[in-house]
Amino acid sequence: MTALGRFGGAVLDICRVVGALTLFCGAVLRALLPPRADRVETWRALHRVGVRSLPIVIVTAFFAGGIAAIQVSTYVTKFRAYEAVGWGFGFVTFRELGPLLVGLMFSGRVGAHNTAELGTMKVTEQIDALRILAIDPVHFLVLPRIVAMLVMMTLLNVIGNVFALGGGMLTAYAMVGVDPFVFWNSFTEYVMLADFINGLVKAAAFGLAIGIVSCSFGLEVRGGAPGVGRAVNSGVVVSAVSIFVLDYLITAILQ
Amino acid sequence: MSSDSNHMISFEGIHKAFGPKVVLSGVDLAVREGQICFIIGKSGAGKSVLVKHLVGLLRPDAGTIRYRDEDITGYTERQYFALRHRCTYVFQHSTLFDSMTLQENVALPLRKHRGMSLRESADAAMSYLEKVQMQDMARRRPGDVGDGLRKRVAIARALTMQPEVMIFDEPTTGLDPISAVNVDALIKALSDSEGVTSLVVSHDLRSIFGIADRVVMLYEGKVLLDGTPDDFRGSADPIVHQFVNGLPEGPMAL
Repeated sequence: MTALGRFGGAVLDICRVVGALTLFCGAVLRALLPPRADRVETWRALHRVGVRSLPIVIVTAFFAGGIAAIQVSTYVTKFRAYEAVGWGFGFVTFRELGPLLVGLMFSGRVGAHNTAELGTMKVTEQIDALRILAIDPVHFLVLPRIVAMLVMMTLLNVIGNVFALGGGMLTAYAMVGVDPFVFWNSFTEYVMLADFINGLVKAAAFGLAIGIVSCSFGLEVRGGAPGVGRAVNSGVVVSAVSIFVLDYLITAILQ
Repeated sequence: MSSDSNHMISFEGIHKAFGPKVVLSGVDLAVREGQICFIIGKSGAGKSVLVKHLVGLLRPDAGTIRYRDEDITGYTERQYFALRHRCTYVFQHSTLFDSMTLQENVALPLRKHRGMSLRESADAAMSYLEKVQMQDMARRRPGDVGDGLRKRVAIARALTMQPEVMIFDEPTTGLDPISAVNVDALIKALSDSEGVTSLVVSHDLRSIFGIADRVVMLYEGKVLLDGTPDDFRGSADPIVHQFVNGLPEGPMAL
């Protein structure tokens, strides 16, 4: 195949994915009028998504906070601006690093699991079995998962912020010798509510994107077990791309 | 074939192809209320494909499907949801939900369609599990029980829809002889006591001669034989003869 052919094939693949996601979003929106998510399944999904993700989010956030503190510390030491370390850390972590890293971890952990679960249900005819029982798979399987990912990604981001703060404070003290009291003062004085909300908006958007992408790829699986593997792989990649595109757009809009 | 008010279900000139492979090429079949109709044929003959059209899991390329004289061919998925309360399907591989216990599997349609609470639906599910002698395993998950037991639970789950038509896709395939007899007895009892019309896709000659009211054999995308089990057994058609006697040599290509 020529380079032009490969390029054309790649463009067609992108169009196919975007088209499928658009149609899927349409089906989800229709299911919201009025909202008919299964309550029991929604609680189960909230519990499953939240509990499953909490440890990894805590670890990610703690180290993300530490990394932000190290990066900021380089300049803090250079300019001897120790009182700016809390601000620099908070600005970078709450606005950007926290939601981005938690989103990527969430996509790899929960999104991949979700695609695999729905994909397996598809290839083993469990989705058809739901239809035969006159239960709409979008209402029963998709909406609860999307709601769970949206809510839990936002909540986990808040929890992650707390652990990132701990990680940042500890690292700043251990590596640069910034007193935690100075760090905290700088943090509370300069980090605005808007920085926190900015991160929450991103987390919610990432959760929504991961939910839509992972469910869509799961329900579109074809070709048995290898198809499930391919869908999981593609779902994680598309989720990651969606996270970066949304991050770019939200950053530009809320700047 | 014209529709007949005595017929509960009718397939008229059904054509279906998957890409270049033509599976059904003009199937005509009508089933009366309360009948146990077996659809037989060699693997790949289109038996499951045909019956999946009735519940909207597949759409025909051409032809008409009627249910109680109503043309359902162009039904939307939403319209099929209403039909599936009356006409349900038991899949070949049971398709119980892995994440739920057997009891939760059976309770799900009760909770969704009869407005029962979790507790009420769980209690009601036990009575359906009793019908298939599975009440003692209610708390197990589908992966923890064998094929035969899963099939019985799948039938119990289908019964919660209180259907007037049940489609069984190879209900006894892979079962031990005792489980197979139990499943056959259950299908027969549903017909006798509740008047359920059954469409059974099967290769199992013992089941066919045991409980069928009528046998329809598909071959090369068309109905080759339509009659009673005795017609089937006594047919002079060489293809039917080869099938009934399980002969490796004959006109039917493997």
